[in-house]
Amino acid sequence: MHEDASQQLALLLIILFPLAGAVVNGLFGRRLPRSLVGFIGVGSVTVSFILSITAFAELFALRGEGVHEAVLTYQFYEWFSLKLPSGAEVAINVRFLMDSLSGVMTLIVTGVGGLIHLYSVGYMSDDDGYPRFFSYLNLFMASMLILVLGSSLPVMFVGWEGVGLCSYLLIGYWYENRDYASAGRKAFVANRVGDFGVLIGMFILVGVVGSFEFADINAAAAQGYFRKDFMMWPFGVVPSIATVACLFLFLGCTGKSAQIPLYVWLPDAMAGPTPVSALIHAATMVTAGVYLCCRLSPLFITSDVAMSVIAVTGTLTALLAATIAVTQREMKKILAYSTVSQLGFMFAAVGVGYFAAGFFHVFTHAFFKACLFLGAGSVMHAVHAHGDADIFKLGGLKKQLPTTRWTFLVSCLAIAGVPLTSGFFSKDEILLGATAQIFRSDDSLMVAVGWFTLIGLTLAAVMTAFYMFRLYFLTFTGEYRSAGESSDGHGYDAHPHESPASMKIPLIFLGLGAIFAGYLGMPHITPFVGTHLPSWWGHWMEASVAGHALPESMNTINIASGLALAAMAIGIGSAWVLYRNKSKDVLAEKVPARLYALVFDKWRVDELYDTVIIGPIKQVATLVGRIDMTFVDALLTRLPSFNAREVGRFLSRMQNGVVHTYGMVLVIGVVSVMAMFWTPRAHVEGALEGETLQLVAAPGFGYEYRWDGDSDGEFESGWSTKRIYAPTYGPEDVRKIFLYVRSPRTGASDHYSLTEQWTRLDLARLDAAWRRTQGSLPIVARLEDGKVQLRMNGAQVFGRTDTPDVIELPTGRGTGIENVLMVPRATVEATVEVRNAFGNVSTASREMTLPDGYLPEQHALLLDATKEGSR
Amino acid sequence: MITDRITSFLGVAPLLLLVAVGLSIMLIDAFSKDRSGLALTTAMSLFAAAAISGAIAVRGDLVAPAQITRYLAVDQLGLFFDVVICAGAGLSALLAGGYLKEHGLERGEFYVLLIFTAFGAMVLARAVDLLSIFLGLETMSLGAYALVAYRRTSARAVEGAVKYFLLGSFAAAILLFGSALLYGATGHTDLAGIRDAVGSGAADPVLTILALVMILVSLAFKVGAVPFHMWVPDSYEGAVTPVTTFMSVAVKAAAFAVLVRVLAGAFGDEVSMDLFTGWTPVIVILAVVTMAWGNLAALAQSSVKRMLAYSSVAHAGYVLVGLAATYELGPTAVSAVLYYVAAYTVSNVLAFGSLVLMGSKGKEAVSYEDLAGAGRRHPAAAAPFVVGVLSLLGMPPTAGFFGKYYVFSAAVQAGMTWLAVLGVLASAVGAYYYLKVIVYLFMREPAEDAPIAVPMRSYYVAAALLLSGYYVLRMGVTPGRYLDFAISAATTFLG
Repeated sequence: MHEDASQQLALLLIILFPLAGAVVNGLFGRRLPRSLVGFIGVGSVTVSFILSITAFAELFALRGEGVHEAVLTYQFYEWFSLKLPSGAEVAINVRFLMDSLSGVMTLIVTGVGGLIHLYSVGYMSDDDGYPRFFSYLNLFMASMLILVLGSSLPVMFVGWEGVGLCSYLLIGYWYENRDYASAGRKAFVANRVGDFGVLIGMFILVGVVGSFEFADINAAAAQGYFRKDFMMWPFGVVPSIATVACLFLFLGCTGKSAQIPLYVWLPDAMAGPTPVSALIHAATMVTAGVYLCCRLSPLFITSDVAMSVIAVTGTLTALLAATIAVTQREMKKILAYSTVSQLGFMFAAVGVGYFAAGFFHVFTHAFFKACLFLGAGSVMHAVHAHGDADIFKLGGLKKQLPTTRWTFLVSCLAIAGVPLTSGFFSKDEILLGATAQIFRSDDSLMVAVGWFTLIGLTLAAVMTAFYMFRLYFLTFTGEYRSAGESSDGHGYDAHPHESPASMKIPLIFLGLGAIFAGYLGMPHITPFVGTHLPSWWGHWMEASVAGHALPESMNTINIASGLALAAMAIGIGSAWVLYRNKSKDVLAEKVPARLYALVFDKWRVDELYDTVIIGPIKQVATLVGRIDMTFVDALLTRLPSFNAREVGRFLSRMQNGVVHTYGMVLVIGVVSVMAMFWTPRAHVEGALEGETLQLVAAPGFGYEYRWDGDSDGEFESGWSTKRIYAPTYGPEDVRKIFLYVRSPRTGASDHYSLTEQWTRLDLARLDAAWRRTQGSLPIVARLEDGKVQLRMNGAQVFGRTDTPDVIELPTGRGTGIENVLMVPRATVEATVEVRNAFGNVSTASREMTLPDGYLPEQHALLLDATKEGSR
Repeated sequence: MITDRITSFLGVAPLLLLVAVGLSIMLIDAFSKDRSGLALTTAMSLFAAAAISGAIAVRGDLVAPAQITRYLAVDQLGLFFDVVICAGAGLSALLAGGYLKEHGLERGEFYVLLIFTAFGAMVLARAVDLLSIFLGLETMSLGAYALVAYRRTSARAVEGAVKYFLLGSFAAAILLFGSALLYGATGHTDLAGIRDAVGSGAADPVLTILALVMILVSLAFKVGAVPFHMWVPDSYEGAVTPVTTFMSVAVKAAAFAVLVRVLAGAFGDEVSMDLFTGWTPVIVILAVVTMAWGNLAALAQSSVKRMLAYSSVAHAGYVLVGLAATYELGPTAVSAVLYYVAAYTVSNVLAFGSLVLMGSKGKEAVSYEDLAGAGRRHPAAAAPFVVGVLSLLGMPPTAGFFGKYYVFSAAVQAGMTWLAVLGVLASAVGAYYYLKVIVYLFMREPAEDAPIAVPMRSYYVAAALLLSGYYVLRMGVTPGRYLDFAISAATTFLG
């Protein structure tokens, strides 16, 4: 456990500033001048960034002082508390925490986010919904920061849902367009499927650990709390409950971070404005899944099964998305599939146990992918393309858009993994991790996963370099293919122009980041020579992130670096040959057309989902809708309302206007009311008054009572107005004897009517700790010779071997045997006769259980009486 | 001491004020042709009487606690009903001021009758003796018969009045018979003495039961509980709308006052109230039948005025639910009854007043068809109607909501959850015909070449609607002080 440092108000303020910006712009933005709206939007994030830097500096200083697990926390308030089935009370605090992991993530979110806000000032300047846009964007920042800084799963989940909401709002930002609006809905639904997994994972974790705090869960995982066998349908026994929890959490990650099978929403999400694509769907939100895995890395690493699933899923996603990206023709579509593919790289890194490497890729990817998206936005802005830009109608833009071109090129180099750019370092580490798994593990499954990951990622890296440079060459080299066309035709603006400064500045900063951000992760070695791993990044991260140690063997390192370099060279080289200064899709001519079409149609996964999942759901919905119309509306709604109306008609027809009828009804009413008093009501109850049992009869006007306390047909009292009667009972009055059994611990109870025949007692549900030998007869009871007898039939009181086979219980008193209370009880019956003022008589009887200890007599007498009493 | 004399007379000051005003109007009307100020004078004097009663109730020390005669009580319960009756009558007078003038029916005797009927209602609400109960009842009823027949050229009005008179006389005879039997059984005519005699068992049981049944039935007739409600639709529909309003609020409130006084007072001992053998089961059955019948019959009406008449029957059922809970809860249940009566008074004035407002000379608004599209043509005139029916329906934040809430929650607390459930179901039926008003106002268009009712312009009606609308919302948003008044009335009454 981390010990609580002093309250760091900055952590709260980091979140509150963007939130306040969202509220102000959302409520009053329409009445404020545009410049002020932009200022609030950018300013609030900038302040947040500065606060993040100061907080991070403090954290850095703490680490410098040698505090290994340095954290900053801020406890805001207790949100609510929860009672677990185990009885423990779990307080859920709104508490924020900055450690080395969330610190870096906060810097990425606020830093890159701030630049994208600045970019939006220029990019969105012509849009009518300017204040709405900034309000959503600020709300996203606040949610993302809650996600990152929350110290427990529920608080994180608030942010998790918040970013999902903002993503939905911003994808459907131009909601007048039906396609855009449905893209937003698709994103939301896919995310909700994942969120369901997160919730279940969360409940499993709190069930095992009894706390929602990340620190507690990780500590518990490290202590092996999760290594319990777990029965899970339909897989049978899974080796640890961690596997189950991690797989559910990972389902959430596949939704949020666009992995197979839930990645389908991300490419469609490009319907939103380009800054949104850059901020939410490339740099920050989509990496939340990777962040969650890193956050809970000590938990994930305990489950080999879950880790393998993650690695394989990540690799498959990286490959699948890369193939699709190779064939697409629109800038943002290509970048979107590239993002899905790169997220696959990150999860593959997580899956082979190199969380720090995966998160390092999150860090570098944020720079170059944001830069690429903003560059694409800059191109679209320049050529007045709305929605997306077809690269086959562009070309040669390096002359008109120098800044955009250079930053774009730098980012392409980075994502392709050219040495000494940021992408080189991060991608290299991922491949290294996969290689290391092959060499480290003895388990054949793990080795296979390692090989699969390594080969898959290398292929994906080749394709990454290829499609990025395909994009670059077709956009920026050759001749501009829309020259001479008007902007309202099929092409774009004939005279592209460079973007304003507010858009160029973020590009430059992000481009610089794309080159230099990687140096944080530069190994302290040069290949073939040195030995010192890990990097500064690795050192910094190990305080909050678990993971396997990086290999020391130079062979491993050389294999990984060699593969990465070769992949990069092959990819860029083939793109150079095929697309430099070209205007046609050369690749399409070289592969079979049907294969190319299949890949271009994104392997028709959307169509598959439509047929297999969405279609059946729609059919069920239609069916339910029909049932609602026919059954609920017609039978349950129309019919009763029709009945009510008809009854009403009938009733108002009774109102026939004839005054004789009215008078008649009046008289009938008097007689009816009178009839209610005609016969007396007989009712008797028993009540304990101190030690005596009293019989109480219902009161009434002028009632007289006659009592027969034991219901033997002879009245003991004459007619009187006394409605309370206290008879005395002897054993001869007993009607029945029954056995009352109760478990004082659980409060469950039963009673059994007893005769001379053996009656079976079902004591299992009372939690009786009696041990029964296999196949023996059940425990039975009967009346015998005035006593209640139990026959154990071989059952042994727990912990003993000398339990007698027959046990006799004294009557009227509780006897505790082991943890079950057994009381034989007796009942009597009382009768009262009631006469009212009209001379009418009614009778009532009631059988009552006598209070324990009421009968002082011998048990023998009881039995005789019962024998006689069975008349 | 002379001050004692003064303070004890202060207790009946509202009554004396009304008698004085009524007599003066009679005198003035004989000599003056100018009737323009009569409605205002009547309304203001009724409001003044309400204000005096309210002030006495708040300043309990202004008046000697003892009753000033053995026939009339000056207690919180009586004062509460003073306020309700005078407010209802005053608001009805305001409606009349607009309605009668618009339809050319204005004559002085209307206001005189209204004042004396209200006076009779107040006497009835304060009566603590069988004699004063009968006198109050007759004073009130005679005035009411005449008011129903006020538009004497209308056959329906006369028909309604005659039926009301015949049946009312019948009921009065039953009451008188019951009173005589009760006197015979107990030797007392004052309710306190009767209570002692019945409670101690000294009274002859057969006579007591006969008396209880007869008195109960005659009072159930007065509150319009099913099956003794037959006169309600005919006379409510025949009377001019301000009179209908007055009948449904002031006259009904007084009937409930005496019902509470007799049942919870004279027959308030444990045996008489018993859940199975006393009057409680009778009231429960009446409540169930009344709620069901009233609501279902209202459903079938095509005339809004007749619908409101049946709905007033249904509302009597809801009040009886509260009364049925008295056996278990005592003051809490009675206070729910009182609150309901007050809430119903303002809500009903608002609904009937809106109906008055929607028509004018030549074309009165009576049926749903008359209202078609009026809400879109005259949104300002339709607004109070909407608030009024929503309150009658029991929708928050209106007085009607809390009225139903207190009554049903009393039933639940008294262990009669099933009765509350029935009440809620009955209200759900009620939602249909109340919302139908809104549907017609805003979502229907009048039939081709149907005569269109044009809302009248009258400050009187507007004032009545504003006042009642204000209290409907006020009692729906901050019910506290009105409920406190009801609780203190119920608590002091039941001791």
